[in-house]
Amino acid sequence: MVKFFIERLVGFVLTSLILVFTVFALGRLTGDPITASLGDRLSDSELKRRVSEAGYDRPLLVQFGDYLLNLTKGDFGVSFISGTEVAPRVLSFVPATLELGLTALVLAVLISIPLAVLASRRPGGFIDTLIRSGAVTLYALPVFFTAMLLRAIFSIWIPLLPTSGRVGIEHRVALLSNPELTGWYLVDSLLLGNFAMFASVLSHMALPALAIAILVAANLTRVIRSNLVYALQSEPLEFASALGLPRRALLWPHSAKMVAPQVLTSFGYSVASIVGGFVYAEVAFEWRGLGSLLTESVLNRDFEVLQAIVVLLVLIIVAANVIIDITIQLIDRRHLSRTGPNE
Amino acid sequence: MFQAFGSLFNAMPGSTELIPDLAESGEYVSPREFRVVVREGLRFSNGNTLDASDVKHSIDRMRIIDDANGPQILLQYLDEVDLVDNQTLILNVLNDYDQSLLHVLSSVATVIVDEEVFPVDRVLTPEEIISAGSFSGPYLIEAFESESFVSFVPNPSFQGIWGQPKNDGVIVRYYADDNNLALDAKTGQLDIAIAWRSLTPTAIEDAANSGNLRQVLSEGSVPAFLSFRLDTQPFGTSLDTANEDKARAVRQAFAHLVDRTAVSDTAYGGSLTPAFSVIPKGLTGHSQILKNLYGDGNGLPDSAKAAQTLQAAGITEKVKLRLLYPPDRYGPMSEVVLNQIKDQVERDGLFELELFTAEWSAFREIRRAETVEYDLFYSHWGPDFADSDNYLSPLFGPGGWLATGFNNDSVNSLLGEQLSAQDAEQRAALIEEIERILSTELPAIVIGMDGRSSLVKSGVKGVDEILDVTFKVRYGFISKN
Repeated sequence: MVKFFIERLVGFVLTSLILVFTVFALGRLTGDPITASLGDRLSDSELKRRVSEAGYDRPLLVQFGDYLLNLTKGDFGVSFISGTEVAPRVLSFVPATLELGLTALVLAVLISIPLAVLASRRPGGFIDTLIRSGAVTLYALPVFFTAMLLRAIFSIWIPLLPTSGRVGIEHRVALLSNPELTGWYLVDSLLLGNFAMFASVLSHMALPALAIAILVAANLTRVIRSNLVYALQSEPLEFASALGLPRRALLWPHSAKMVAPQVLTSFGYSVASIVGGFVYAEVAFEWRGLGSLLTESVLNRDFEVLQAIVVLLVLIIVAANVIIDITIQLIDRRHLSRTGPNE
Repeated sequence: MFQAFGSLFNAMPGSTELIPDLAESGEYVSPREFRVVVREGLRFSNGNTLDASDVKHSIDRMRIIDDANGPQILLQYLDEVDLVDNQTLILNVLNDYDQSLLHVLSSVATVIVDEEVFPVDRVLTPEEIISAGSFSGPYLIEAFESESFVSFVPNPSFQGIWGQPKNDGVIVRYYADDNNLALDAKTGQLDIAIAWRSLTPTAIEDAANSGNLRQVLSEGSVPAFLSFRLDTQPFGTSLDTANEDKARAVRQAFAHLVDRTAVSDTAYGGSLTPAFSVIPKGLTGHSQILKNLYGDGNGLPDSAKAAQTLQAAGITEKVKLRLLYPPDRYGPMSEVVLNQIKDQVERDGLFELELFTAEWSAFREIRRAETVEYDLFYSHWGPDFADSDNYLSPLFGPGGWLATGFNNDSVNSLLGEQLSAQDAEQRAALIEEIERILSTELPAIVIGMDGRSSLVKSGVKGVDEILDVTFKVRYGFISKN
């Protein structure tokens, strides 16, 4: 177990380094951030002076070494676009993304588990086919399309939910002017004891969370359903069923333990696409999280911010996969030699 | 910026005439010394006195911080600022009787901040600014989120010429996606939606047809240019076939074929008005010179004249041109505009115009590169203030922003003269002479003046007044039933 943990940790560090360097190098390939942002506003001599001062004329590996060293101190540099330190700016967008993400994940689980259980009752039956087809279709839909569709239905045709933003405009002053608040608007509204604000945050969150949840749930439903069918048809559980164990008990905890490793593995693979989903959903719904900041920094050529967000996302994705691996290991050591069903 | 911080000089909505605002007076006391007297009794919103020392501090601070993204370049013709007494300053300028100085003193580069709050060598964070609560404009900033949201409330200490706001406050919400802006305007969540090059005519029409919105177009003051690279264009100075007369003939023939009215009808929801002068309407030296010199004399194209111009220069073959533009910079309609122009110039077989695209930051670099593969570039010039010089010197002076390579001794000399001309008529005459030369040499062809397109909810008043050529959207003049 310790060996497994160390292997995963080393893999985490190496993978992160390679990904961060790749993004760093790709960013530098298009030129330094100062020239990209200010190239036509400064004279050639002034530009050269600023580039040299910032160290962008040094060899790439030297620049990367410095960047890594600064990263260890939590220093992500200064944005040439906004003139502010990158780390606080990027971190200030994290609560919005986490709030949306966690809500979306909870929704996804609440949607996918019941559907998967329902589908697994009669494999190949009408309901199973309907659910599986629906899941495949929804999984194939791009998030921005889902977002547009949801907004068209619930904000325009049936004006039930807001079109964009994190909270009603009437509440933003209260949320922005109190430095004690967390940036997690659901939490902040409860801290302020403002239930109208809480409802407003929930209503604003509904559509973007649903857009992401649909993507996640579509995949989860298929994976859970397949593994459930496999588990329920396995010898041990068939035997247990023959002995009269009720279906509820077969599902929980027996099938759950068998299914969990595969589901977690599948979830790990889809973390990267979930991150992509966030970017689209946040932009579509003007949800001011990391995804919208990422888009802005690309459009503004704000390399320092872009680099920092990518580093953060890389660490999140790689860490998520490592945690999933370890969790699987803890749930069931036999997972390492097991092969699940192919979808 | 202007909502929260005041200026020494300003203009009322609908006017370009600059009058003392937080200044009592301002005049040249010698060719290179401009004396400003700050009004007595002024205070910042936190109660601190606002006097000449704050003005000097504000200007010095801009230079000392020297942020690469800052507006301190507007201070390039301003030398030292000397404090005479609590109310009086002498601003030393680098050009005799610099006529752009008042505009500089009304620009973002010289807004007045509290020297007791704003350090001379550091930019404050938004949180620091809000908590310090020291504002000199018509509004205080109550809450702020970068690129997202600002809440303004009236500043009871404000004593400038714009007066106390006619509303109880303004909330400004910034949209990353203009479709969301249009949607929220349509569903009644916004009183005013101001779009800059981004709402398509369809989106505007759709929103305006929703029943409770009307479209307001601002006076255009952002020129849209087709600029030539004089070195690489056909018969350009760097080519083996270099020939100044032929190169000029190419540019002039092109100008004979551009139909600005047709472009304006379809572009940007009508906010790109046809322009026949580099100087917008309302500013010194504005004319219709291009209408008189090119096309049929009434603003429409004339292919016979274009053909004649080319023939007279000995150009008998179809002229091939490559045009580069940044589709991400000037909105979704820029492609429509340029395809229209392509159709116009190709219609009679005199030109072949190929369109190429580059993302904005790449476009900027390509346009200024020493060697380029393009002949023409499409860009808009965002002026720093509403003065004619700001449409001339930065663009057509040596090393101009349009990067055409244009460097004309007569124009350079006239640019300096008009900047120092104290007599308005004399200045207008000098500017007209500059335009005459530019219209003959045509390093760039202005096709339209871009303004702002707004959707205004019924019952909201004052928007028509404030969307003028100055581009200062003065929220204090807006009210609603």
